[in-house]
Amino acid sequence: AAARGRAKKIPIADTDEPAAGVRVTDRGISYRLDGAPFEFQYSYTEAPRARPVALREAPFMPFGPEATPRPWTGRKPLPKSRKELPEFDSFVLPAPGKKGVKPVQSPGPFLAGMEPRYQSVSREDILGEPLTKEEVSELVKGSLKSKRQLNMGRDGLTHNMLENIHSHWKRKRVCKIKCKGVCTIDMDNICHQLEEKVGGKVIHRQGGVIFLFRGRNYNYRTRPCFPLMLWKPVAPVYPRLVTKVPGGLTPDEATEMRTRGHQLPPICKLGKNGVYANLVNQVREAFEACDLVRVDCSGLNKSDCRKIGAKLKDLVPCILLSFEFEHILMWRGSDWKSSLPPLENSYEVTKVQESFSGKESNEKVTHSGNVLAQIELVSAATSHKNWNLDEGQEKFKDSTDSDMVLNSAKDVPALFHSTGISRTEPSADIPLEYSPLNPVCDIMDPSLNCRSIPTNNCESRALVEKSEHCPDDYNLEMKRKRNDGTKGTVVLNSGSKVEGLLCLLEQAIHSGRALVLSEDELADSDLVYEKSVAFTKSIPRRLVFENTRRKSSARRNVPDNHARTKTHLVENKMLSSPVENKFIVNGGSAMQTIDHGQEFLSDVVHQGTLRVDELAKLLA
Amino acid sequence: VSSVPDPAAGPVEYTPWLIAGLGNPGNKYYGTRHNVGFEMVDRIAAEEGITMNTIQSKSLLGIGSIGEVPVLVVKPQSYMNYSGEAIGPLAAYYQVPLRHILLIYDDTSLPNGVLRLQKKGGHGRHNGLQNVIEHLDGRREFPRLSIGIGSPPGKMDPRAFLLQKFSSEERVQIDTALEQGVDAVRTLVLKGFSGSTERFNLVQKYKFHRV
Repeated sequence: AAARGRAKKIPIADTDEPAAGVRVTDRGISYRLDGAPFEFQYSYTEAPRARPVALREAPFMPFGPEATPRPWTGRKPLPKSRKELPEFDSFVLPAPGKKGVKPVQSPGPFLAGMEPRYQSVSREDILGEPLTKEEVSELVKGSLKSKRQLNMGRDGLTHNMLENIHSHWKRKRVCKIKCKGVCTIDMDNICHQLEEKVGGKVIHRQGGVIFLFRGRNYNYRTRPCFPLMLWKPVAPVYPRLVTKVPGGLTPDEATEMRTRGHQLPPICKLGKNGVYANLVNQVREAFEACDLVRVDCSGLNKSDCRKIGAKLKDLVPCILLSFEFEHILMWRGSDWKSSLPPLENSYEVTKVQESFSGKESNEKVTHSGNVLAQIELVSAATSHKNWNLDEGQEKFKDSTDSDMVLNSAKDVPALFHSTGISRTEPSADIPLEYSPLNPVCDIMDPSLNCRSIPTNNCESRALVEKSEHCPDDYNLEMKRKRNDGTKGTVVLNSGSKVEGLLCLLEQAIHSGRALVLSEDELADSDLVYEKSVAFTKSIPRRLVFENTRRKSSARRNVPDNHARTKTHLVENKMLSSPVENKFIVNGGSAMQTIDHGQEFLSDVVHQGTLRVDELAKLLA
Repeated sequence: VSSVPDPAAGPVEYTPWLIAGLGNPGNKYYGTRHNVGFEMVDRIAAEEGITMNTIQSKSLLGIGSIGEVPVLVVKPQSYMNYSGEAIGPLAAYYQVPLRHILLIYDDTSLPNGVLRLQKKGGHGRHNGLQNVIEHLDGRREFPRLSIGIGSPPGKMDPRAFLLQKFSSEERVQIDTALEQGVDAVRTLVLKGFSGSTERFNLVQKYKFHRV
């Protein structure tokens, strides 16, 4: 009586076959029959990916008295029907008007000019040519709403379902399979197993619903027949999912993690018999942000919770810590690697360095010392964008006048050439050495604005001071960079842009569209609101109207503006030599200012140019 | 020379940004859940040293710059459901392209204190956002920063929930979120949408799932 509570465990012998035809494999217990194309299992999709430790009952073949090696103790099976039933052939359909016959779909669809193949043996023959898009949508549409479906649950694709699918295919071209619960975690596996074990082709998948097409030349009569499993074999004993001390952890760490897990809010709550198709992705995503993840499984069957845990362990992959309180607690493990790309800062710097090393190998190594120093410099410069940027800004704030800046920009290349020749020894090599710097400067420019590495500043200074003619070169670098097309224009733009905004604002104030509040008015938000209401009412209607009218025209302008800046940038990118760039700078900024002038003017001028019908509206 | 590949991030753009927080005007609504957008804008303006002292087209606005990028900071003073009347004309007047209009608003579909930066999206049953979209010719492709305020508990009227003030614990969460939000807006304005935005969203999504 004491033994009744728990089934007795039968240890597995060393030999793989505890009984004739029964084999213990890494995917549970499988059964081998003579002449069968594959080894049968109770469930093809849900068998745990672990070798059983022990059995709970003496192994036997569940296919009926003939296949069972032990003496038969059950009831005698029912005798076969004496009526001679005609064999069902998919290509021989009942007459259309015949009564008492269930509807049957004909084989196909067949492409134009293709004959049905009656005697098809291989899978490819049965499937025929791949379906076209239209055929697929037609087939799916036919069974999308149909209630004739095969339900798949926590046992997944069981052995007896193979026959069920064929009986669906007997009358319909497409079998709709609806999965719910545990098996939906790994839908890819289900589709794979279906196509492998039953044949056919998965033509559509949505959530937990699969549409399985039987093939163009399918014939029910020639389907593969397997014996049915008459009993559900008792599941063997599997190794523990949760070990007391998981691998890579000390016992203290494990307990500490488990206690931490008690307070952890779960990332999601699973519903009973729900569709968990994106659970694996959710857990993976959560592991990017946190090392422990908890999933709420309250309300699920206990075994379901364990099965989900086991699947997550294989698919994510992760290390299970506990199933306490109907929650699954997982740890991402010590050898977890982020799947996200690293942040751009480090990426760009390495890229610049890589490109440099590539260039260097091409060049003559006679001036390797020089080149190396420059490489160091540039890499230093990349990592100390902060400093560069600040200096650049200071310089630019000093010379607010754009003409001034342009003049200096004109001067600097000349300066650069002269100093470059005087500083570095061979004159012929200078262009060679400096030309590769151009694109690199281009690359670095966008990153100049990020202020992510403030700690390295002092290092760069130290580096610069160490090498002898570094300060000069470094200054050169700085100047060059400022000369560089994109940077120069962009800074000019920004200056003019803030001014542009302020100009617009001033215009608005002057024309009575905006109102500047004083400090004490700003403190009280009620007062601000009252003021704004009063001001809005006081604005002449003409302005309000014009403002709303401008809205549409401005929106039309917006894409143009966008496009213009884009082409502008592209131009700068393409021309790499500093002199040409400079001209572009000149032209570009001039263009910009002209544009601005036009825009401002347009603002002013437009006031008087209302169309007649609008005037009529206003006067009414 | 031209074989060197372009970097993933484009150069910094210097077209102005319009940063608009949504909320209701007046002291009555100050500090309520629906006014989180205002708080965020106030925080941004304070950190960037922008004074908002001008009234134009039914909104309180200030002009300044983040880094070198010019920025318009806007608090519409029309009520929430008419925010578009303020923002639409402003964007037109200052010629801000659609992709540079950043709307900051409260979102009941996110847990309290969770931020999310998106390039585009729907209105999510937010009346203010609905009105703004209406006034931008039905265009939804503008960036937005949504601040999670949680969903109303039980059968509470959602309107009452929105016009309620935060509880003390929620206030703490929101304050930290606002701080992180300022940084996010700064990087967005300077560098645009990139991998770091996705990273930011990910960290925000799971920020309460770590101990």
